[in-house]
Amino acid sequence: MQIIPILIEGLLLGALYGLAASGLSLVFGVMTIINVAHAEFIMLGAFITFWLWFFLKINPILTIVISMFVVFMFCIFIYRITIRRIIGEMQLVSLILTFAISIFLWNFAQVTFSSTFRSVDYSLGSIGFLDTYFSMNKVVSFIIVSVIIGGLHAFLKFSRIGKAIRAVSQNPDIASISGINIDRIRMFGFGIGGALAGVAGSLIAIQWSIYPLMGQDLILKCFAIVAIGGLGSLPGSFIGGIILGVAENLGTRYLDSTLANIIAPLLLILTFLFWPQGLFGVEERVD
Amino acid sequence: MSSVLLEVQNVTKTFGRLVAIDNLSLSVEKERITGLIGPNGAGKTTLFNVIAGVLRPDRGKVFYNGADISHLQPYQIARMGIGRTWQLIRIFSKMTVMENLVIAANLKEGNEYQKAMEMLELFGLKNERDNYAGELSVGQQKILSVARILMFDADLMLLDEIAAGVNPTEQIKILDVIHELCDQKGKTFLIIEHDMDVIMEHCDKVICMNFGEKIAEGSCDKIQNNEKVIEAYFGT
Amino acid sequence: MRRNDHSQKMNSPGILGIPHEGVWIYAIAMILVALFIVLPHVTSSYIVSVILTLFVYIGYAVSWNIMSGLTGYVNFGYSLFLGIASYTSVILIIDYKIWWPFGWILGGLSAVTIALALGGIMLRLRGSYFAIGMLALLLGIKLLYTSKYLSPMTRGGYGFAFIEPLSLNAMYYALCFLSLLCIFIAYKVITSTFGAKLIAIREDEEGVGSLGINATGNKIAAFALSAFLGGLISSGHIAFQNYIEPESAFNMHWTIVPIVMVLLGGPGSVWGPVIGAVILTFVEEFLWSHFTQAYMMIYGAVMILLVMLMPGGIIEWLKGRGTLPKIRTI
Repeated sequence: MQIIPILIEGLLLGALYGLAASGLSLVFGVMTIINVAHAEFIMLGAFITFWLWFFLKINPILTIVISMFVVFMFCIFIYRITIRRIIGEMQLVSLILTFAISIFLWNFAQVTFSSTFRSVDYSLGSIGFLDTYFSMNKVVSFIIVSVIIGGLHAFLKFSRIGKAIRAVSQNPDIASISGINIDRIRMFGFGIGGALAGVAGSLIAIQWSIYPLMGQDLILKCFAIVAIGGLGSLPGSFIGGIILGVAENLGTRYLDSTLANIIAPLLLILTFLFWPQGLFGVEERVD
Repeated sequence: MSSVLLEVQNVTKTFGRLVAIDNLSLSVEKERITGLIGPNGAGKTTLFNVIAGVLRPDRGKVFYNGADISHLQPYQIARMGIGRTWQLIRIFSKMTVMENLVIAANLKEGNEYQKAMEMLELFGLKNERDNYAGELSVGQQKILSVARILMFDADLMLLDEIAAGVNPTEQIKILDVIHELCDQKGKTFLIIEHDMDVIMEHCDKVICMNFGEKIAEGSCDKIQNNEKVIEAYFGT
Repeated sequence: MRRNDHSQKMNSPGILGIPHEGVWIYAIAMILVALFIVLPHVTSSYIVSVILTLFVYIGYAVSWNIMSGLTGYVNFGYSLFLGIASYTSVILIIDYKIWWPFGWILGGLSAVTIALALGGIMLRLRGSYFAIGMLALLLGIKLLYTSKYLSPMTRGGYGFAFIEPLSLNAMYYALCFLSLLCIFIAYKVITSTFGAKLIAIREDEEGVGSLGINATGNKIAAFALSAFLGGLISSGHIAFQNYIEPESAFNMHWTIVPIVMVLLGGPGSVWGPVIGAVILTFVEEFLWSHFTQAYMMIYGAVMILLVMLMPGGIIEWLKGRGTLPKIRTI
């Protein structure tokens, strides 16, 4: 097979991966917490899109906005009743807490939605390029991802809340002295991280089958991406996502899918061992 | 005639562009108390970290009893007989005084408890045996830090500001203990201190650092009147 | 965990942590042991199975605690050792006709081998990185066992059925013995200098080196011990299940449930994991028969509440209230 189409496909996949992981990075930046439940938010976004399409026949692309909003609010809720209480504790406490939240969520989904695979039957056709056909869904998804990345970047750079988020990520003590309400900003940060996950989930729903346990399969990919890109760095998670997407796609085409799935955990461990700060790692704050 | 126990030979340590230790050489004689002084940021604690194995020198070597310890791990260096304390006390506050002592023992024979009891006697901490180390006063915690490194028979002790932040009675006690260990048990000390009175009264030799370099070395009197030392502390 | 007050005293009163004053506790323990021994002959095999599962969970919880409860290195990939031991023991017993006790022991040893091989690498990672790294390792190895590369031995993703040459009662007694062994070893570790060093590592890993303590060596030792004991129990567990496949042998369930048990009972203590295992085994049995799907969800909720409200578990709560003496042997 020609390599360029495979690379392009990897890029399309990778950009989505990057978006999926970006929320995780953002949350770590703003509160130094590794949110193990992050991929469950992706799953929620996916199911929101599915149910809206299935029951209300809404165009899946439009459901993205709703899913973003719903997951945002849900994450604010979770932050207020759980995460906020353990902010000052050691990192392991938050790790176990978010792990527990993730267990609760994917089992809740399994109980409520049943574990069958579901697909959104929505195809935009395909587009020809370089002798192969690409699914238009993937292309549109890539465009949406790019728009969101651009929007996120602008938001963080120019908006008041965005600047506050960056301030808290860099130096919470100084930020709080400057009059920023750290708790509120962290709450927003968590919500936005969730919203990004939700969007990624919706986009996934348009391209692949979804199922309640999909978060469990995605979380390691997200960790790997964030490790490569550097915890807390958004450009890092996008580049990391693309690296993983391309690598996995190459693996699927030239080797087999089992080996392709080993790439994420393998990269994660190797990165942790030999390159812990990743591409653009922000300085690790000590416990 | 005392010989050299610790020798630092042309050690350089940089952090990126910051040169923390610059081609430094010094020696510490056996059974003596040597003082290490210098203004803040001179590199004294960094030097301790290099000697203790927490940091690796970029250039140069460290010799202990003639053996090259430059590339050993901290626990290996400790086992050779070098003990150190920190400016900010580092004891296990959620373990009892007894437990703090016992785990420092590293003895194979199994009489850690007995040795720990001896330590408690020696340092006057017997009553605190079952109390949590975090509940002791600062002075007692500092004493505990010294007691711990004695549990594994450290011959060279690197003490970082052991007399700082304690009340006068405790300070006297700590220094008494140091002298007793030096005179009667043959231990060697290299101590970082900011309190000049402590240095002048208790040290046999003083080394002064500034900007990572050794700028003066000698007896207390010599150092007191040394131009470079005065300049380092007070400017010209 | 900051709120977990591990201020304890290292005296050693009584036997297995029971102070001399607590003779009545000792008596109850004897009665319980006698009950356990007699059980298979007086009740149905369903109840025997439930108690057998209890022994398995006690074993898992106690061995997980030896490493993660003491050192604070949360091992999210614990099922890794369980799965490897399961496969090794089953393959040896079924394909190579090895006598089952040896099969089980070799299963445990295979887990230790992996722990020793990987420990040096993985334990270089700090806190959260270790936890996530182990998770990644678990997934990677599970995929390996599912893949075609190992399937001549493992029969790949679909697994296979088998029957080990021992009766249900024999399994019951073997696992009873193994779980008591785990508790005994945990007691020995936690009350020893080794255990104190592990706790010190959790308190201040870098400072520990200055006392001549080889933190990495001690961590690896705890890691390997935890793997060995877990592997032994897992070999017994899989014999009971009569079917082996990667998805269930390496399932997160066998990590998550012991973790909740340890958190509930009290991490870092001798009896905490046991108490947690006892409570949750019966809760699980009850929930499973009434709310087959929802019980894992309830586990998640319980875990959330424990982390937020009672991070020291039941044992610390009882010690804080004065109901239990604050000694490390409990």
